[in-house]
Amino acid sequence: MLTVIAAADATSSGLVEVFGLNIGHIIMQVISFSILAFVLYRYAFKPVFATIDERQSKIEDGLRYTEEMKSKLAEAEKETAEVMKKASLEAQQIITEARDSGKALLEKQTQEATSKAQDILTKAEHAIELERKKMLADVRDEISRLVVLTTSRVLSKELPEDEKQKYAESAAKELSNV
Amino acid sequence: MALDKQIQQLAKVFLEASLEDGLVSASRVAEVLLYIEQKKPRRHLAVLKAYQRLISIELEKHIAHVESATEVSDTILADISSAMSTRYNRTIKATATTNKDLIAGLRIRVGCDVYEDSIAGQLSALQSING
Repeated sequence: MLTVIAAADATSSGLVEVFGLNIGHIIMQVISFSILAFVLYRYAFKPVFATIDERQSKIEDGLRYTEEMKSKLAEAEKETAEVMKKASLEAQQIITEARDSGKALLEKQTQEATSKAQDILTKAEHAIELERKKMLADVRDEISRLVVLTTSRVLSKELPEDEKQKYAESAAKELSNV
Repeated sequence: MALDKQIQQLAKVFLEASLEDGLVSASRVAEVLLYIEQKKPRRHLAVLKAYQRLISIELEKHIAHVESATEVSDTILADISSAMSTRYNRTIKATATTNKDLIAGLRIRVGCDVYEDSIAGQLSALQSING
């Protein structure tokens, strides 16, 4: 080991000499590099890392939020599906009820219309019957009037005086015995 | 209203005073009129009107108006007078008028009662039955 170190030392000594290295410069460079590294770490890398961490955290939060949103979306979709299903059932029920109501209303209106039509028909028949009876009565009255008028005129002209006298005597007897 | 009642009562009294054997007597009517003219009871004009109305009704009670399409013989009038007097239990005199509208037959009116046996009446009854 010692031989190796010595060899290395010898080698290094050789190298230093070969390449013209200056230990002091190297140490200064090391110190400068360290200072630079510290400054860079303190004022450049650390904020960058902090920013990266923050971004990473935000990304993770975003992913978590996305997962939550996905979950919520799934739940919402599920709820929406249930609501839609429920709404569909309710709509179907409403449609069924509306159809039944409409059918019942239609039947009721049909019955009412039929009843009204029947009433109108009955009234019309009644009115026609009354009109017919009235017309028949008028005709009968007119015929009776004409018959009586004609008979009166004929009898007034054609009935002989002796017949009128006989009728008067007969009437006198009849009225005297009333 | 009470005054009208008094007028009617007074007219009835005058009417009763005007009757003789159940018939209106001309002489008694004259006496009643003379009495009214002299005494002039309260509202005598209204009393006279009521008295006249009662006398007319009373006279009508004793008259049978006989309407006929032809001339009615005295025999028929006498028969009618007799029959109506018997029916109403008072003396009724028949008076005849001609009414060609009856065509044939008679119509007798005593007061408000009407008896009819005529062709016109029968035709009218026939028309009313058919009507």
